[in-house]
Amino acid sequence: MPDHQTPSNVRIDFKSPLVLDVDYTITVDAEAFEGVRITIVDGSAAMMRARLRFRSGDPESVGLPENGIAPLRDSRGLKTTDFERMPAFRGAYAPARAAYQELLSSLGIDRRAWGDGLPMAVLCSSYLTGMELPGESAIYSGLRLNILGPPPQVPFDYEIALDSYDSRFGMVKSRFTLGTESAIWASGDISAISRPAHHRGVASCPAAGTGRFAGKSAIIIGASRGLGAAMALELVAEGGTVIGVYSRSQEDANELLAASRNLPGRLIMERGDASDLTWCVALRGRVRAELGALDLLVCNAAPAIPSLRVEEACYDRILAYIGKGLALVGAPLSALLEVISAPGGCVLTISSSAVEEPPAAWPHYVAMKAAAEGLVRTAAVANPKVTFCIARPGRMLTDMSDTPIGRLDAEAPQSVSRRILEHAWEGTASGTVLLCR
Amino acid sequence: MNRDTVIPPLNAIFQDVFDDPSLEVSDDMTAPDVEGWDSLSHVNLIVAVEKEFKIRLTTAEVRGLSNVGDFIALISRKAT
Repeated sequence: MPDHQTPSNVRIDFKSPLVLDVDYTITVDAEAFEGVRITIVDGSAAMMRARLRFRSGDPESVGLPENGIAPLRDSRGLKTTDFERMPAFRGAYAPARAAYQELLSSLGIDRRAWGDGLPMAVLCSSYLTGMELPGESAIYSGLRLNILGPPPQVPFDYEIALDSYDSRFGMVKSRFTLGTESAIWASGDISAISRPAHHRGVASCPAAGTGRFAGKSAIIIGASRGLGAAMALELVAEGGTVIGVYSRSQEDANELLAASRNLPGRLIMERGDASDLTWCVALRGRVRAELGALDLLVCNAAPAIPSLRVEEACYDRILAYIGKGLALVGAPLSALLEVISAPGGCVLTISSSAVEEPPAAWPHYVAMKAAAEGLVRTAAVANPKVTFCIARPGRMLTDMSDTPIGRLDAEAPQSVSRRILEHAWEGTASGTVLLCR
Repeated sequence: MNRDTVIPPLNAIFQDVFDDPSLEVSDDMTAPDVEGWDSLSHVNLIVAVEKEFKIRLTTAEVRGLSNVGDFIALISRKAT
C-alpha cells in the first residue's frame, strides 16, 4: 500500500473458484503501470486478477456498529423470468464490528493503511451478488468499483439494479451505488453467472410409463441431482423400485421424493458415502433382505470437477480426485455385483464424452472416467451373465457442467436419461459391453 | 462492415476485457496467445462485441470460432 494514497478504483476478475485447503501463490506487481496489479495463481493458472488505482490522501476509517446489518437472511431465489422485469433492490448494510476486524486481520490487511472504503465496498458487493442480485446459486465473476471517499457512516444505504441478463450464458450484469442519493461514496458494476436451480433433475417429472420396469429394482449411485435424478424418476415412472443413493444434497433428495409420489413405482432415498466399501456392503445386506436381488445398478456419481492441469502444483489433487471418483464406481461395483440378477441384470456406468474429447482443464476427470471404464470392462469379462453398459453422454445442463460455455447446446438430463435407459433395456447380449452416448 | 472498420473497436474490447492496454489483435491469435483468455473472458468478449457492433451471435457461431481472424470475419459479415 503506497504512503498517503487511498484506493480509488478497483477492478477484480474472478477466473476460477478459490477453495479452502489449497496453497495459492499471490503475485503483486506495482511496477508495470500506474497502480498495483494483484494475481492469485494456482500453478500456471490465474484464479483471480485485481487491479488497484489510488488517489492522493490518507485512508480514513469509520466507526463501526457492534452488530452487522444485512437485510436478507436467505438469498433471493430469482428465476430467469424475474430478470425480464429488470429488478432493483435497496437496503442498508453494515458488517459486524468483530467479524469485520477479524476478517481484515486474517487477510493481513492493516485497516489504518487501507482505510475502510475499499474493504466495506467489496464486502457489500459480495453480499449484493450472493444475496440480492442474482442471489441464489450466483457465481461472482467480476467487479469494477469506484470509491469516491470513505463511507460517511455505517450502516450505509445501497441500491443495486439489473443492467443486462444474457440467458445463453446466464450472465447477469448489475450496477450499484453505496450511500444516500445525495451522498454516494462508491459505485460500481458487478458481473455474475446465475445458475438457477431448474438445471437439476427434478425440473420435469415424467408421466407414468408402460410399466416396463414394474416388479424390478435398481440402485442409482448419485441420484439426487442431474442425470441420476432424471433416471430415478424415469424408472419409478416405469413402475420400478429405486434406491437412490446421495451424499449431501438433502434438499434435492427431498424434492425428488416429492416429485416421485404420484408415480406408480417406489423411490427410497438413501444417504451415505458410496465410495466407502463398508457402507456399500451394508447396503448389499439391505438389498438382500428387502429386495432379494437387483435388476439394475447405475454408477453415476462423481466428485465436483475443479479446473486442474497436469503440473506439479496440481498433482496431489489429481491423484486424490481419481481415487475418490474411481471409488464411487469401484466400491458399489465390488459390493453389489453379487446381488445383480444373472441372467437379466445390468450394470450401467455413466462415463463421459470427455473420455473421447478431453477438456484441457479436466485431466483428473478424464483419467478417472477412463479408469472406471477399465474396471467395468474387466468386470464384464468375469461376469458373463450380467449386461454391462457404459454411457458416454455429452454436455448436460446439470450443476456439474453449468458453466458459461458449458451450458451452450447442453442437453437436458431427462432426454439423455431416456436414451441411455432405452439402450440398457435393449441390451440383451450378456457378457458384452454396450457403449452408448 | 469491412474488417478495417471492425478491428479498432474490437481491439479496444480485447484491451478492456483482458485489462491489457498493449494488446493488439491479429488474425492468427488464439486463446493460448492471450493471458487470461478462459471461458469466462470468452463470454465477456462475446457480450461486449454484441453490444458494440449491435449484433447477436448464435451458439453455433460462438462455438465455430477458431481464431481472432474468424471472429473479425464473423463480425464483418453480421454487422451493418
